[in-house]
Amino acid sequence: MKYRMFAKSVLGPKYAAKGWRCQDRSGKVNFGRTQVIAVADGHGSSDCFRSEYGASLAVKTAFEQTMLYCRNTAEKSDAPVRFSDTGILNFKYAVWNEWRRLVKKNWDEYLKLHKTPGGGEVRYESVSEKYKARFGSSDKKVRDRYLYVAYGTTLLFAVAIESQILLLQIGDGTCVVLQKNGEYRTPVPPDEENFLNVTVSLCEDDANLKIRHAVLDCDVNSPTAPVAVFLSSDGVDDCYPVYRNEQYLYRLYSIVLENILKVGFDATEAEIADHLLPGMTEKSSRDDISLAYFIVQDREMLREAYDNIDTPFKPSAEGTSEKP
Amino acid sequence: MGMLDKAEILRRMCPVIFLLDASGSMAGAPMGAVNAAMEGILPELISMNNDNPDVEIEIAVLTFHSGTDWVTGSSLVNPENYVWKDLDARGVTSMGAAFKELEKVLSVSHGFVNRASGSVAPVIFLLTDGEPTDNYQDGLQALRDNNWYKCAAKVAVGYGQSNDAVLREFTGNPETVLHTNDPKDLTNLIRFVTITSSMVASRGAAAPVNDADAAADPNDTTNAVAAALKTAPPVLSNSTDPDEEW
Amino acid sequence: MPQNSRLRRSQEINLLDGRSITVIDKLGEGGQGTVYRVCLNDTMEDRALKWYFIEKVRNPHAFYNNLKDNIEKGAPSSAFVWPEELTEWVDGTFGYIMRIFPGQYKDFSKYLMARVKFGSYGAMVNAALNIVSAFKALHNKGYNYQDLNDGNFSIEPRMGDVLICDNDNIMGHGQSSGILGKARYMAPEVVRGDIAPNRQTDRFSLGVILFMLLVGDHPLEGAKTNVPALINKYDKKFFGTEPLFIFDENDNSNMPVQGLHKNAISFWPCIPKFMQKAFSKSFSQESLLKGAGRLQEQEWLHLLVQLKSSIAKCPRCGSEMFIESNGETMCPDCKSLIKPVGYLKFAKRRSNIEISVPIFEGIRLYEYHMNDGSEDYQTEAAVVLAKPGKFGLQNCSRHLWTVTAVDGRTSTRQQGDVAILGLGFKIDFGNGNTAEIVPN
Repeated sequence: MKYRMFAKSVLGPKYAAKGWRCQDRSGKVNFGRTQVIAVADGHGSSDCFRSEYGASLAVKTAFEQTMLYCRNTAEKSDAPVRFSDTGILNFKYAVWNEWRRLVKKNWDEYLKLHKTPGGGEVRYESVSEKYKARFGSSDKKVRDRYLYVAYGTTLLFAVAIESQILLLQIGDGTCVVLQKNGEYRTPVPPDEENFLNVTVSLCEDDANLKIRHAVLDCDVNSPTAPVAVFLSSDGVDDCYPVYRNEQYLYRLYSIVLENILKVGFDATEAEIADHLLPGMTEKSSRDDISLAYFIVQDREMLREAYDNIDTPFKPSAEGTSEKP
Repeated sequence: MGMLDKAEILRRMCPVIFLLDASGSMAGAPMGAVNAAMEGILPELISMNNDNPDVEIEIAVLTFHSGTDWVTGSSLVNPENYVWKDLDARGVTSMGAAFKELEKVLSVSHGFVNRASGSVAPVIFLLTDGEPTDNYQDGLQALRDNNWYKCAAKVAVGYGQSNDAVLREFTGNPETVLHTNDPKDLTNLIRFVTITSSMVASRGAAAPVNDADAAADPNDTTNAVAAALKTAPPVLSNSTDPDEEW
Repeated sequence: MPQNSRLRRSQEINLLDGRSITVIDKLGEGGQGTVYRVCLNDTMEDRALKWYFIEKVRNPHAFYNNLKDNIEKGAPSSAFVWPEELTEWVDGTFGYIMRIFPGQYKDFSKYLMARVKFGSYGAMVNAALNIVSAFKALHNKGYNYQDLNDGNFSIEPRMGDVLICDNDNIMGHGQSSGILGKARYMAPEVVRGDIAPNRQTDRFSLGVILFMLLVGDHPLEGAKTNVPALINKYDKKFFGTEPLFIFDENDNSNMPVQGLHKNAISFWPCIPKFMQKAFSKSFSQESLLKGAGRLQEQEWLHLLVQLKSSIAKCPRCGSEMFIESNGETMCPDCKSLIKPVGYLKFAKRRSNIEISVPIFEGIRLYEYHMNDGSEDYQTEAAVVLAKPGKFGLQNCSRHLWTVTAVDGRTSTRQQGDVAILGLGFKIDFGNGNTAEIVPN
């Protein structure tokens, strides 16, 4: 299945007011028959003062490792090419390991330039005394252990090969899938550790074991084939109530799909980037906000799926919908 | 109509929940002080809501006596739409039952916090002039297992012969337990504590440290409130007694 | 045009036995269909309904009939969430109802990702024993599994109770559903395509599941399988044509990788040698390439009860660990090597396996140990007590024990009494089942 890809991050007013740059990163890439979208949310908390770099490196690593691990997927083989459980286990480890390597490299280069941690970083003022001591410790072992915290970030990404889509996630944010039969799902298993501000992070030890995933089958004849995959950082999720949060996201995405069916991808994507995302964060979450998606190019399939969406998850004819 | 207009975004909400002792011993001047305080708080909260584009405060009030009563009804109310009805005082002090009621409503699926989104911790305010007459430990233990309770800013005011040790157990931080013996002071204290803690919680001033190696300290909001209570400027007391005890 | 086989709330469906159900809510989705919460219209009891995506079912009518047969034959044991009754065909598809299982049960795959932890070693070994019992019951009834994987089991973390779900692909002996399952759990001969799934291949899968449960990683995933490929093009090689046990005694080219296979590295050294031997046999080249040497359920049962009776607390750091009867074992937390003073050696072997229990404080024996015909590994029958200078074995069972000292003197011990464990003493637990105290 061929997908249209989109990815955009917008700086939140909460951080703009402090003079910070956007800590969210997102991106899209395709090579051969493989397509990838990714969203990473650098932590806003005080000790993660280089989290925007953590987020950039997370997106970069996701793309690079996917390219490495998906080489030759177009090769002819007698069996259908599918994701392997062993491969997924190895991949999670590779992504985490490579992120750490790039972060360490970034840290070493940063220190070469600035001599002490904190140089050139307006966020350094908010770092706790405990972590200032760790970042600047004379004991190399301590520095090497804790430097990753400065780069803490979440990461969500989706890899589409011809037969399947692999969804991976660590930390908060949501991955929503719309199936051909009009049903919305959140297939990635939930993480009980995400609560209020607390999120699991790529900078944790053993983070590779905490990356959650789901595999979707893209058999075009199956009612469950994914016609759209949406990745959102918590900047989107937090614009809506916690209880049954996904249902609000389903309605938001139905609005996006309706728009695409009316005016096409280009106009919709421009409106998302220039009005929808900035407006949402301005009015509600105030946080950096990111949205990325795969949506089928096949207009008929999209129309059919949209028409089958349950009424509570669709905008009504007048443009406003009843609360679920 | 653009997509943004259809997207039904809500302002984040900060629940402020009051647990007020309405037992017989509160009758008279103390209850009068509480009623005056609560009536005075409402306009101040409305003003805070108007000034704060990020977060909206909504309140709920539970009285405990021989039983418990959600005075504000089965959901949170917006201070703008609520008119304070004076409370009466009678009966004993079922604080344990109050804790159990509180635990029930601190739930996303069945309780008050279903509208709350993202990262705002609630404020819980406890007022008593005495001692729990029921078994409060079970209720307190249930609360301790509740994530919303853990992250909430917990403050308490003890009046007269109150058992402040129980209050300190409840808030987990002795610096957010204040005490007075004077009814006029009580009004001021209630207002001061409520406004300060609501301000702290709704501005999200205490973002928990997202330390990868140690669990984020859920007590950060309470701790931030403690700090704010200490640094707030003292107010002139309404007392008319120059010999009043400190 | 594919069938839109979604059900609506309040939709009513008839069952084959004349009863009817009403759809309440959607519970979840799997590869083959959707699971709904429904209620029986006559008794208002809740059930789960699995409703198929008919496109995903090979030979729907044969499948339907197989389900009908299985429903009639009944579940092999109460551990199986078994189809209770089929529905009528509706809009070209169908489903079956089964009981809803309680929420505290968590998917086995969650334990593997360490997102759910067992309450204790006892719960973990109980889960292993319960899985083996379920397999035994399945095979005794003439079925074999066919598509075993980590999604089939749900385990309750406190006690290790096991529920086995997704039982729609269970087939009678000699039949094949066409579902091959995940390569990781399949016997190599099935991955290679040499043979269709059967009881022997199920036993391989059982071995894999037990290894993953107790050691925490896959027995065939190590350095050799750590290649940069997300897709399955190497699966046939890793699990079929060139499989190699990560702790193979003769070839260490597939050893577990630091950081990637953390559990295998941490926990294998802490597994008692008798279990290590059993795993080595299950995943030897003989077993992988020729299908020989795989343990039967009965053998696993004896080994796992032995494992259960080797759970104790590390005397240095207090963490739970396994104690070997006649050797040293490592504590997984403080890495201390602990060896007991001696062990109880049972006179009778079972399934040709020697039964022994280490003498160490806190070790428990079960009804299984009292009677060589018993397979009861849950009812506690005895516990080892320790005091300065001596060990005792307390009788918690209803059997009358007879203790015989080296010089022939005897004494009886009834429920509540403690038998002193002296060198060379023999204990008859009743029923002629005796054990001797052997020093290390």
